[in-house]
Amino acid sequence: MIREFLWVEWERRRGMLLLVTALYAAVPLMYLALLGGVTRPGAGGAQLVFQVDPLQLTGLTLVLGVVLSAFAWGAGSWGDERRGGWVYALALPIQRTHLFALRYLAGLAWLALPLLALTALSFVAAAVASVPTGMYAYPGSFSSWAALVSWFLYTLAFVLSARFEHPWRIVAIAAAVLLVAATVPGFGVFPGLSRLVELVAWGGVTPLRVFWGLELPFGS
Amino acid sequence: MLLSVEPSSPIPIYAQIVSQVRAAVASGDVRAGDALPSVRQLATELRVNPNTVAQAYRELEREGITYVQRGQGTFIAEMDAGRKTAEREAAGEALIARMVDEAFRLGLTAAEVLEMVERRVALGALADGAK
Amino acid sequence: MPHALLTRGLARRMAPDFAVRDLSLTVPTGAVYGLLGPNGAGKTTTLRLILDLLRPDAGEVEILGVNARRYPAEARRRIGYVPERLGIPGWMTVARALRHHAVFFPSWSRPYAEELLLRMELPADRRVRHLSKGQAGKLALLLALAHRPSLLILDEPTDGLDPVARRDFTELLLEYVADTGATALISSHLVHELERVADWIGVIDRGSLVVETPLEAFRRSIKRLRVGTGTPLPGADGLPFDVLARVQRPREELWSVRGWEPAMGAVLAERGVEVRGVVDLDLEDCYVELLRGRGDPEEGR
Repeated sequence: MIREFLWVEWERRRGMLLLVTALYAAVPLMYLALLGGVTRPGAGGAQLVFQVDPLQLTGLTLVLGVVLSAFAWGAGSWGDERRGGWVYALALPIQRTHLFALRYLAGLAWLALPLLALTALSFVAAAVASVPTGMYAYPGSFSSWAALVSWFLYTLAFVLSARFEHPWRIVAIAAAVLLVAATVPGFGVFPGLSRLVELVAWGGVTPLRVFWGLELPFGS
Repeated sequence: MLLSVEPSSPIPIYAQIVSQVRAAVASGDVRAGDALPSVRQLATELRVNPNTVAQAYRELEREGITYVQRGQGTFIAEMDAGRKTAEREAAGEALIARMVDEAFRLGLTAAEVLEMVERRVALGALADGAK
Repeated sequence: MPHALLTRGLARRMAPDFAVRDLSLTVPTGAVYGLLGPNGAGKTTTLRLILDLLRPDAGEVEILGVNARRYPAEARRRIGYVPERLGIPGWMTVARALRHHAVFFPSWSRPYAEELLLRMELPADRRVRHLSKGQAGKLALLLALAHRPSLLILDEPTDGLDPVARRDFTELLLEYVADTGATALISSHLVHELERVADWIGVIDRGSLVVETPLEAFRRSIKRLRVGTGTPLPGADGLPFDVLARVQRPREELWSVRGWEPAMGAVLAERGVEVRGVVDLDLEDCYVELLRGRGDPEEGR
């Protein structure tokens, strides 16, 4: 039965899956490209300090892409089968809990594809890039972080999409959360609050580094 | 024999089927040994509940108008002349009953109905005579 | 097992002003049961509660001897459900939808499904979202029949179909019922639709079951009386039947009554009421008079 669920997910939204995979793959590649900018000839040690911040900001944007697509993937779980307020699959002779579990697992299983791409390319990027003095690459940590955040947001969106009927409602909620999360730390208006928001909403770009030793692939 | 039912008629559908088969027998439209369509066939054709057709067939069998041959279906039974006449009268009776009911529903009085029937019968006799 | 479906005290609050209340349906095995009611009476909600697509607030459901509240999946395995609108994801092709359904129903018969597909002239490789209304209706029926269920639950199945599609649909349904002796529960607000096929009737209004009876008994019990107004008429109280509605006409009144029996003519005569005629009603008349007798739906709100 799980095979049917996996198969259905693939047939239904392989286009979206490939797009998500491309987005995930783009993150380490973009870091690689950015690092090229940091290490271009003539960049002195003093300048590096200033260039790390835009690097992190760009990283944030890219991570936003990851977060959004993980969310969107989860939000699409219940698709177009709602008709007048009920879900078609509920009428199938299968326990409701069983149905939810299978749907959830099938979506999660396919999410492994973009994550694998991200992990593989992170390691490749870390190996290829000539990391400047004073900077370190943590591809493993970054991949784990991405997996954790993706899983969390996929789950959140899955639950939301099962509860709310209209996709736009889910999208609106997601957009609001992500906007707050992206803006506040980005502008650093309330440093204390922004840390908190980062921690709660993002899985934390900065705090995670502090608390759990997780790290962006190429941080300072 | 072509059966048709009128679901909105006050007469139950099964009774309509029974009386139509009886009428067909009385008029000689069907003969002894003729097969009736299967319950499934007739139910689909008339678009009525198979239970209703089965009920009509049971009724017909009970009245000795049809008999069932296992695995073969339902057939029209042999019938003597006296029974045939009785059937014809019964069918006519049912027809008149239906007509009278309808006429009363229209608000006609008994006298009016009788008069109309007489006029109509006279017309029919005239037409028959002209043939 | 005398009953294919039983519900006892089924209840669910849907909105502040709408609830299904204490609903007890009894659908005899082998019956074609017509669930009638105006739009918004709670027919669809009732069927969804039976199928556990909606969780009841209270009540019991027994389907083919199975406690469906406890084992809804088990019960659904033996039910063929035709929803109001085809729920199959629109991206699936007809053939894919069949394969998808087959995974969930152990009793799915592929030869039978293919036979139906041919007979219904459904395009196997067309996407569900591109099907015409008639084709979608037929596909819904195919998906409900191919696992050979003992109970069919159909929610306004022919609503919106053209006459040809409607006729095809009814024929296929009746054939299945005739072949298998399956029970069918059909909801509709189109009374004429049910008049031919149903042998049991349940009328639902504002979330409650008003009547449940064999169709013929229903039609026998509701009559229109022509009552002479020469003598002062008694009030509705104390009569051996319910008076659902009274309409004044010159020199007489038309009473729509429920619970009529021929012997009651004598009872009325004793009281000086002159019954000039008893008029039979068709199912639609019966239904309309019954609901009219319950008053304006807006009043209770």
